Amino acid sequence: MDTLLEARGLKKSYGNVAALKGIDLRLMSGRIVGLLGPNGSGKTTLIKIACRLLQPTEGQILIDGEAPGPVSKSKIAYLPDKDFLPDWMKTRQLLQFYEDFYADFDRNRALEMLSSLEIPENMTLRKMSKGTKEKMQLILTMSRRARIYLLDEPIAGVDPAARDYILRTIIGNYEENALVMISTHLIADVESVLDEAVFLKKGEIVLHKPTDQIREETGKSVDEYFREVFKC
Amino acid sequence: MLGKLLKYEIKAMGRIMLPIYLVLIALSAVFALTMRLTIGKTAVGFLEKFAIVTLVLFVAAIIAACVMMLILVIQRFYKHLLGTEGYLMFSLPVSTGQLILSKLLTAVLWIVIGLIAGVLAGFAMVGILSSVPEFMKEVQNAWNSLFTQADLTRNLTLFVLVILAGVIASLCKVYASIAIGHQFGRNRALFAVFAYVAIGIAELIVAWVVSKIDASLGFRIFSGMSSSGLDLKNSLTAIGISAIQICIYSVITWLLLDRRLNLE
Repeated sequence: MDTLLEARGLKKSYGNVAALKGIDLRLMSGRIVGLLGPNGSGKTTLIKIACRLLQPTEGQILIDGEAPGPVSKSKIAYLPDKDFLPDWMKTRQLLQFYEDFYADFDRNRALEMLSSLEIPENMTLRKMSKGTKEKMQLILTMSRRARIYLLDEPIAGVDPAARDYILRTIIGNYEENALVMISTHLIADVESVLDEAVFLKKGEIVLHKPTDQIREETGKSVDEYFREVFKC
Repeated sequence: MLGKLLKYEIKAMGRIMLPIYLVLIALSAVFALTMRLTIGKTAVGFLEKFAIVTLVLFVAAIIAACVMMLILVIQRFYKHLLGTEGYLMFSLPVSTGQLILSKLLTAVLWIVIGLIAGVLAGFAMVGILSSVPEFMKEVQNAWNSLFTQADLTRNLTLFVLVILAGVIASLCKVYASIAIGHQFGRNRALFAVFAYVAIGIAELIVAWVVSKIDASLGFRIFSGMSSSGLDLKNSLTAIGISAIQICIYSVITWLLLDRRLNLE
């Protein structure tokens, strides 16, 4: 197993507000990791620093041994928690866009998923429903044979049926020697697929363990244990 | 990768600008044709009215093209690079410099195409209005004189370069202002406008200080900023000033986007 994501003393402040207070984290290939924490715990900030959408205030992050830049971006398949695709583009134009920029994009895989979801190739993104748009974003992200998948709240805001589809898509499509990091606060839905859990609380890691170990040591599910740790 | 960025940027701007430019040329042709039909005729009430309407539409199309270009330049940078689409663009395996350059080169390209469309529209009007063989002769003469009269060629080249450098400098100024506005969490658009005004004031102060030190250079800076003197020395000064502006503004833009990016 290789270290694919490593954070050392990572800090990020927005003015006087500290979003990350010195994160040390090592994530290996072949693992599905849950980045778990309530809203405002720093999950998105950590992912954005890994994608070089933010600069850390202190410390560093390494992606497959390198500082974030064009090379690391070619290895990361990132799903933001926003509508990030140009809405005037049609499905087939979006496939072309991903194929043009990412050498690891697998068009056939994308086409299979599109047909199973019955999303027409000549449909403009603007005309898609919110749920379809989210599925489109997920299909494009998961159709890459990337080293690292960073999925920011992939199941928030969709109905339970769509949630199941999304999780099946993630499990069924990631590369075996890749690292998948799923950030969410909906633990119960993702618990079954996670190998490891990272609990993030107010910008600090309070726990990083294999999910089996958490269940063994506490006698609780990760979801139950999460509720205990983050009790208001 | 820059080539791929350009491909998509040119397409994104073209799907709006190209139809406007085509309408512009078509309207000029329709206007000229209508006017030609009225020549030598007495009862031309309807045709005349039609020609006037076309002319008004033509002028409206020119204004629309200019306004649309301005909106697109701002929108493609403010919304598509620093809005939510920024999540897509900044995760691509490209450098920040390539992203900025793709926006700049595409805007320059569509502005140049717009100028060419304007010239073509002018040609269409003059060409159809005058009798065609005569017009072609005029074009031939103009073409010949361009390559026989050294001064004309030189002046035209200088003129084009001064305009081009000025356009690039103006675009860089807009981008820098938006990048500065991006630093303010809320009211990013408002602060971008403030930044644009502040940069304008700073430019005037610099020009004023220089004019105090060297009156003639000051004049050339002022003239370089406001118009394109066809005098060689003035033109080169204007190009030089544009080059300085381009360097300063693009460095500001690059630094802010590369080091202090904070997408909403």
